Amino acid sequence: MTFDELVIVTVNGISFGFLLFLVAVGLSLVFGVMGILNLAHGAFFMLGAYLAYEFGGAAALSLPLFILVMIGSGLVTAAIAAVLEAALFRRIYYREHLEILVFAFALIFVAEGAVRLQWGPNPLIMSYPEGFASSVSIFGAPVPEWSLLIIVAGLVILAGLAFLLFRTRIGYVIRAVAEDSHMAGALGLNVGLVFTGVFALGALLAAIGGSLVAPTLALTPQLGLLFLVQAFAVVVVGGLDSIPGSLVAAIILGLANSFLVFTFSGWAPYSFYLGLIVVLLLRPQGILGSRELTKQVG
Amino acid sequence: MRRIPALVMLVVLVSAVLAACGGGQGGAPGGAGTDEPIRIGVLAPLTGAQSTLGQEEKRGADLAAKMLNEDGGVLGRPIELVYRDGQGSPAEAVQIVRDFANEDINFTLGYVSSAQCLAVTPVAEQLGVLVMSSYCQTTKVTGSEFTENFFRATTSAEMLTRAGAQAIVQEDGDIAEWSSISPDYEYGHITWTIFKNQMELLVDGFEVVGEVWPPFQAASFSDHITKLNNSLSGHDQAGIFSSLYSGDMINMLSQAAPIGLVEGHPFLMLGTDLDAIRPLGQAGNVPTAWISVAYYHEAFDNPVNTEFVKAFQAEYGVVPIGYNATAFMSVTAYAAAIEKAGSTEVQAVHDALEGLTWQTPLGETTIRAEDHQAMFESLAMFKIAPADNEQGFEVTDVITIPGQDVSSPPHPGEVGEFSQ
Repeated sequence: MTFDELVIVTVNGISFGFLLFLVAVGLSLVFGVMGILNLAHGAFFMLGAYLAYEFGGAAALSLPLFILVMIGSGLVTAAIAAVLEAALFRRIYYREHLEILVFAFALIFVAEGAVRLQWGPNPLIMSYPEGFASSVSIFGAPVPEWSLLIIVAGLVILAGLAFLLFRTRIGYVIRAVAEDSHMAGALGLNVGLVFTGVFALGALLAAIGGSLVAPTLALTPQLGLLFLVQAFAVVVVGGLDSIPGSLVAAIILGLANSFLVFTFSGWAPYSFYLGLIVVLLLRPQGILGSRELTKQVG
Repeated sequence: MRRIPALVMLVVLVSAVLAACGGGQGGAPGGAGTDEPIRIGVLAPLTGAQSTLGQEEKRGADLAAKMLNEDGGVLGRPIELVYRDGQGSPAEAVQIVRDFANEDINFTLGYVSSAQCLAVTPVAEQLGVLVMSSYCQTTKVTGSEFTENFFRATTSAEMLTRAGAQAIVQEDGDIAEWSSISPDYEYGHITWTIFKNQMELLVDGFEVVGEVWPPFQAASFSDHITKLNNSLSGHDQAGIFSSLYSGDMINMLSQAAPIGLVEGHPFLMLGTDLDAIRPLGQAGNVPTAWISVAYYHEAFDNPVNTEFVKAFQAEYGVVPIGYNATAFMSVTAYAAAIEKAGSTEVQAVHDALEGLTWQTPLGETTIRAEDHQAMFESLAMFKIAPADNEQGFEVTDVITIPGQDVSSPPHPGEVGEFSQ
């Protein structure tokens, strides 16, 4: 591997890692607070991408406009998620994991059907925003500007999330509910509202991830399933209830995938599964996690 | 008690999904009456990852049935297409073929993936069902894994690949250095093998300068793009071959655009059709490239094609693409064979299909008796380039390659020379 390759593979890996983080962090938030593994999360990612296309169209937008479109898509997705939480998910929090998995998996197919009815089966794709359609040279290696922008977006969102959870009253309430929802409820906190809010926040982050991939990945009704295995691997490897764990795992797995393409390329498609197996055998609670999947909140 | 409403809801949701995604329902088993419809089973990926293709297939087949029925049907009986949603899994395809047989549907078409074709053919033979592939390209089904009940009304991987290679050499000159970015499964590997074998015969000093194998439906192609880009450095004139298609081709080209991977390189896309090019055009990422899909609506000047294009535009408001044409041809092949046999008896139709010559949008077409492969007078190749128009691209060149130049003699039971 040459130095050029080392540079670009590192950037590729980190950029892919941040994208995975945006998809996975919602899974981790929801598990941390409600104790359920919501596989329907992939549907919010897909919806975010389609809504960005709906609001922004196929032609190139200016960056500020693209950011507005992304926020709009995130908010609409969050609103839909809030309704789904209140109407459906609320009823299944105390069920067995298997029932919840089947329920969420069925919802993905409902979302696939809904997207197909609304936007049709043919692939769609957005343009890169103006000024972000080419590459910059880093130590002589061509790095797509969009990859760098995804890293920046990931850092901004990470900082925002950390601020929300650790520096605001909303954050204290969320953490209290995550710690012990019964006790939090007994103390007068509106646990139901926190559940809905956290669920919507997770969907918003997934939708932002979806908007960010819309210029690089064809939007199809199957988009919800595309990242699901990777996102699932990220939260398990990082620790189901740990947001920093998701970030660390996303970047490690993203980098591992990129480096394997250049070294043992035959193994690259299995990098996420290998990570999953190693962690489940050696450290079932994940790199930074404290809870295993077998233990449920409630 | 608490559990009941949620469970009911789950059942309702699942039923809703199945209702929304499921294929059409089969009619009652056909009787022997002479005005009963002739039922043809169509296995197509109507939902799932390849649904774009499946829906296009359905449009082509539906149009053929409609045109035949408006024309008085076949042997005075209407054609009825019975759809089943086969998303690509071989096991599912085998089950669907069994269902067809149980419903007395003995003529079937569609079949998208090579794995499906390879899985269903032995079963079809046991069940006495005919299988007509409208899309799967593997050379094995007419070669080493040949079975009596399999027919292919479309091109094979060998035809498409060799035609593409010949077109690009004929039009762009003797390009000796080549690289490939193709999917890491049978179709990707076999097409690249055939391409290399054809190029060695066409160009002196043919040389491979790089090959990368992204997995099927990868989320990120960035690393494979980087790797290919590096192997092309110092080979400014080298060609790029790719048998990625549909969503994978869109994703690869969108992710490759920022670093200009294909810019300035001769580029051959195999099996990609306008379904993938249209969204790329909207986003301004269409490369200059030759496309080998065998059909282009303006390439063929014959009455069947003229009527097909006109009827297709009237029905759907757009021009037909290759996926539409091959499904259309599969239905009309059955119709022609049933007319020729004068009966719907399976063995009679099987015998009529062997050596059948019928008129298709690609001109006069014959199914070879020896290996059941359709042979075409010519195949269409077209070149696209980015353009400053509403679509974001234009078709700059359309040529045809003679069918006899792109196919080996029949070799049922054996691996063809170009596939080794």
